[in-house]
Amino acid sequence: MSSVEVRNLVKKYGDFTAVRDASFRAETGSLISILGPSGCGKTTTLRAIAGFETATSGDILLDDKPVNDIPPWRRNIGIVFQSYALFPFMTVADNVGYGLKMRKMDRDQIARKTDDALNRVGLPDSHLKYPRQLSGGQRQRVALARALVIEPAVMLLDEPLSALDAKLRDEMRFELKRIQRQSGVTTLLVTHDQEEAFTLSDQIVVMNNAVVKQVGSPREIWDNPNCAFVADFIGIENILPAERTTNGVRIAGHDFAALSDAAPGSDIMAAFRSSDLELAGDEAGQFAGQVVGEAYTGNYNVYQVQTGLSEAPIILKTGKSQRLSGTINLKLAPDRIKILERD
Amino acid sequence: MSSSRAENALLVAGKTLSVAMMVAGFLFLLGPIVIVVISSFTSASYLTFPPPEFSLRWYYEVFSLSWFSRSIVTSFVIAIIATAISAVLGILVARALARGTFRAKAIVEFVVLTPLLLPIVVLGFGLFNLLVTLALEGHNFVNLIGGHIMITVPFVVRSVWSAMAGTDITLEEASLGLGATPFETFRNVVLPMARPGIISGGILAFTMSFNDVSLSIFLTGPRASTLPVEMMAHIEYSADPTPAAISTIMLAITLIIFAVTSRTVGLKIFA
Ligand SMILES: Nc1ncnc2c1ncn2[C@@H]1O[C@H](COP(=O)(O)OP(=O)(O)OP(=O)(O)O)[C@@H](O)[C@H]1O
Ligand SMILES: [Mg+2]
Repeated sequence: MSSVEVRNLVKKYGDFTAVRDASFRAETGSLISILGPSGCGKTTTLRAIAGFETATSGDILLDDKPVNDIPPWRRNIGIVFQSYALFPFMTVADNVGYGLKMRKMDRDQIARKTDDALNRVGLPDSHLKYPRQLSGGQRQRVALARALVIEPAVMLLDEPLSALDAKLRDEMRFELKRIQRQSGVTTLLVTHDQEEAFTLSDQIVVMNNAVVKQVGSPREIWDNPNCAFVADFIGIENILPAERTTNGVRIAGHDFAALSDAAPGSDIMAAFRSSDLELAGDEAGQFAGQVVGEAYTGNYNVYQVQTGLSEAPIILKTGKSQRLSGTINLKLAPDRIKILERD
Repeated sequence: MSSSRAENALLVAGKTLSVAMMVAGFLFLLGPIVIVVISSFTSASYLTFPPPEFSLRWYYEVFSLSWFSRSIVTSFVIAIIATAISAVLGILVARALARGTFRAKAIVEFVVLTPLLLPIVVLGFGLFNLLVTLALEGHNFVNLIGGHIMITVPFVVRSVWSAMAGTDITLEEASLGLGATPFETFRNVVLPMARPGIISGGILAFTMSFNDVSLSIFLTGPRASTLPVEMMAHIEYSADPTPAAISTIMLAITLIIFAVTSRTVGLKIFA
């Protein structure tokens, strides 16, 4: 078990930069996610850690020792590929035992450890099946067992749940967390599913366009996204251009009190969740709006409200019993306004 | 409702047509072979179809011919050696073509696959002239093996290459990640994944080598000669049914090899 650190990693393919100056660190035994949209460089980063890609510049450190020159087969990293990459011509037991065989372990020991690993992932009696005879979820478990059984220093998971249907995905998410906790292996998970990242991780690395935008705990990122991209990616609906004032922000001429230490006058973005807007009486409202669109979901109602703050309507969410129409008055508590860098 | 009925009718018509074409194909392909096989069991001293009476007379005759037993052994040995060598070469070249990213790839592809397009007679004639120039034409056995490798390698490359190109490269990465060296990965993952291609390429190479006349005719000589070449020579001056019996024997050998290979290794391909 060891810590993983990526230090100023750059990966170029010809003129194209797939990862630009990425840095983050996962402590021993923790679970860290790389979260970002398709094509942002998540897999490339993971492959650089595994040793399948050589870094154009920057370092990969395992337990604070650079491993750039160590080939993949000597890094002792367990990898679960998105496609699982189980060997189709080997049985489940042979798949799981493969890494041990490569370590020249004797057969009894391989059999014992294979049994143990398959029990741990909840597949106690599929030893003699071939991968094609398994369901998606079972294959995923075999891939996990195969990566865990070698007792890797680090485990890398590339979108391990994306090939599963929604229900199984939720189940496997808890399984994954349980197995990671029990084995205590430092784990790096690549995903574009923010819910997955938030429920599983100790730390999240948010990437966009080859760049690491923010690194933090789920709580930190949820409460304090540092830029418009992260705010948008974690589902904050209203992100508006604004200006910093001495004690708050000014959005399209409207002043709001806010908590921030950014320098006054600088161009920023102000963001607030649809559920953080409050309805106000006539005199207490900070701004007025006109309901122009509505949608009813099971648990709440979503409204589009045209206000003076922006050209596009802002989004407002209410409990399902609260129905709105016509002109309404709104206010925003100072601690609900998030101040973001412009991208 | 009616449109789905029309679709069904179309489907049935399509199936009938393709079955009919398959049957026609088999008839054209197998017809002459069936005739040869049946006529080889004749009791007459000339070829007729249908034979007046059945007997094994010509088979006894064949097995008493000294050139037959000599050349069938030679053919076997040459085919086995040529297949083994072209399998090894073919696998290495196919691997380079499937995974390599080198500049000369197009050239390698061209050189390796050209013999597929060249008339084999032309190749044989060229090779013969070259050997004469180098005064090496006397080494019949080695020349036959070398020549056969030239014409069989392209087939092995083609079929192994397509098997390799279709396999997921992450399997190799999975193996490397689990601690296998590149060599172990090649042996444990790349070869098993390419196995269907290797087997079919090997079978093709063996039958090509075993049955070849066009190339071998330039390379045989007093020191070594193959069965098909000897048979051609025999046909030239005699019209008895021995060639029919030999053809039947060669056919049987080819079929047996095919059946044995697919039984022992082939059926496990997709397991
Ligand atoms: N071998 C390569 N050669 C050239 N470009 C590449 C190569 N591998 C990846 N890229 C490019 O690098 C960028 C990042 O790719 P990467 O696979 O890391 O994305 P990702 O974040 O994993 O996306 P996804 O969520 O779709 O898997 C993409 O634009 C991709 O086209
Ligand atoms: Mg990816």
